[in-house]
Amino acid sequence: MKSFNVSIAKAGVKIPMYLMLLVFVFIFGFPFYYMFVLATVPGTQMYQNPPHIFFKTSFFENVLALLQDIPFPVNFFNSFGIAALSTVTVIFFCTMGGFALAKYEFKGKKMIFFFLLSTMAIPPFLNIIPFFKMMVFFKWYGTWLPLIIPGMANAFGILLMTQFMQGSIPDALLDAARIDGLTEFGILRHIAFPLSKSGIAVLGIMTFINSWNNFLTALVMLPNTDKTTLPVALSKLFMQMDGDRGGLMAGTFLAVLPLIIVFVMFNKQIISGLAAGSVKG
Amino acid sequence: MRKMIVPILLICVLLTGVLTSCSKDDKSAEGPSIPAYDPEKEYSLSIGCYGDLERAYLAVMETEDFKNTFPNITFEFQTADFNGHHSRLTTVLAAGEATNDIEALEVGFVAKFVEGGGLTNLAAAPFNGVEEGKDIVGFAMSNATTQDGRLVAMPVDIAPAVMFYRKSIVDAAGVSVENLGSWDEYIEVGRELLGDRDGDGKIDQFALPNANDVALTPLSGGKGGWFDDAGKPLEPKDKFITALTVVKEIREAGIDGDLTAWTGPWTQGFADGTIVTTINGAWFGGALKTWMATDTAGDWRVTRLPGNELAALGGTYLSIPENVSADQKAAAWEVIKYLCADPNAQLTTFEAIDAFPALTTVYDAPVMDEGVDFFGGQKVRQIYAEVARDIPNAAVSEYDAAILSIFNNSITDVLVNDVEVEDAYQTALNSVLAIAD
Repeated sequence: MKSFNVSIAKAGVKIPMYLMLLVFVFIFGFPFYYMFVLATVPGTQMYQNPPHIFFKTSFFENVLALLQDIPFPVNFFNSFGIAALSTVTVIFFCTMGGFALAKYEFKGKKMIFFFLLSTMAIPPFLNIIPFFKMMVFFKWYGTWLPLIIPGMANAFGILLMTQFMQGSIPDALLDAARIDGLTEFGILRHIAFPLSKSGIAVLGIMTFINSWNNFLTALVMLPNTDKTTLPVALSKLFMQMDGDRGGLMAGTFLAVLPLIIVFVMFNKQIISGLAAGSVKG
Repeated sequence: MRKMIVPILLICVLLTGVLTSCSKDDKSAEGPSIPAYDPEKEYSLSIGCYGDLERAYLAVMETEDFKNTFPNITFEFQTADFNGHHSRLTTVLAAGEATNDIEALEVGFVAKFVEGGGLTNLAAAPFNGVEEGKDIVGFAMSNATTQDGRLVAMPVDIAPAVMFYRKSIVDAAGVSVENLGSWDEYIEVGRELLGDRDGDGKIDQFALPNANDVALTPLSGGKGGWFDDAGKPLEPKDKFITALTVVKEIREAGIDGDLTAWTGPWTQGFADGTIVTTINGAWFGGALKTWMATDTAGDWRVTRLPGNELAALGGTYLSIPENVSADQKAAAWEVIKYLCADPNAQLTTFEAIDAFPALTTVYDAPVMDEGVDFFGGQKVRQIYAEVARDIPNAAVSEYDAAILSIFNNSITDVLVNDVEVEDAYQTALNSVLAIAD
């Protein structure tokens, strides 16, 4: 009887909690579902009232219209190339930076840490004019470089990895490796990297998503439709006189798809990485 | 740690110096130093534009006349959405750079770029834009001309403001919106246009999408005209008080749907009859026809604004950034002249995207006198042309962008915060005096 009462009490807590979670799933999931639905609706019925709630049959027509409007495969390649290179380079440099700040004692360490922290307080759009000027000065305008190089060793990534490595890599392990004759780079490669997989997964995913969604820098730095990324190319379809809303929604759906796939594939690492990063061990 | 501060500061100063010196690496060329355009020479020009402009200019470039005139020029476009394009242009010009040889800008941004600088003065020799634009409608030229006579861009298309309305709904209400004498008359008629389309007891058919839409029509669309002849801002006062009063009265009469432009309900409202009349530039007829309300073809009509108010709501200008090289400027100017002042280009652009011509000599072309099926055969282009010719001239100042922003705040105060018209005007005036005293 007692265990029955306990079960009822647990259910009394769990049911409202699950109901609340269901509400949140709806709030966060519905916009994605609705976007998928709109990708299948003819462009002229996009704003129909009452709105379409279920899938229609015009997805392939919308995709064909999209392919006529913009060089979608080229833009997709540009977005993917930039996001992939950004992710690889950010992981490499930010992990090294984070390792140094987490595991070495050196003069000026605190100052560097706070300097990095303070740069995160500056809104990115305030930097856009000097950033643009610098990129032109380096003759990087019109190339992928402004979207990759300046962010390679970014403050957020370094601080995230610092925080993560401080908690997840025991100093004793590093000392043991040194005694065994491993070089500092060897320690990073053979010990720090494998022990930081979750943190690296979080950093990688966040970098990929941010790079994939980066609109302003791509808009300013990449000059024409063939060279630009998906968000900028898709923006061309908005508010045109003949407003190809069908193509726009199909393109948005196809642009979001890789992010969803990446998230689904790595969601365990992301969640465990975020959880580990939030608790200092 | 203190020892480190000095070297860091030194590095910052050095970097600033390097970047500042870059900005002084001025490639610009003004006036006589610009070489003559050479038709025998090969040029490659880039054009920055937004929305459908690329499609329109590509259509012009496909014409035989253009190919024969400019066989030596190749083109590349940088197109983005409306806001994206102007954000990019703002960044590029603020950095003192030039990434395209020709940049399109919407009329609402002209004042901003007058304030910020960075565009070539096309009134100066060898461009002599004022002379080249003598057949372009006067108000459009003056909207790109500063009070000290600089012409920062050339008008390529304009958007005379008119009222679009659904004839069947207006007729069913037993009223007329043709040539109303005042906004008061419009409000009276607007009450008759309210309706309950789905029978649920709530009003879901409105005379106007948003009271806000008429706020700038007494002010010629908010382009220039913020100062009187003596240079006093927001004078004559009656003009500005009237603008705020009309907005307030429309909202209080409950005849607007309080719909935000370009949202789903707003867009759908034109197709399903929620919106019976709307005030906009001529270009809006093209949007209704091509995608917003295609099923309502034949039911829309056009008339002048109540009280025969004259305003422009939209319009595109072509400019040359200051830092474009002299050689490129010469070629860019030839292309701008063609797009803005050649009848072939103006009519082709009009046919491609419904962008109404800025060039008055084409207003007498046969196509301008044709009835338009979407408007029930009405000769709407003649109405656009008449309005365009009548819109008064108003030069822009470097303060216009800021004043427009201030005045928009006053409109919001009146509409949303229940501020009295006189108080809203006084607040706006104080703010304007603080920046433009």
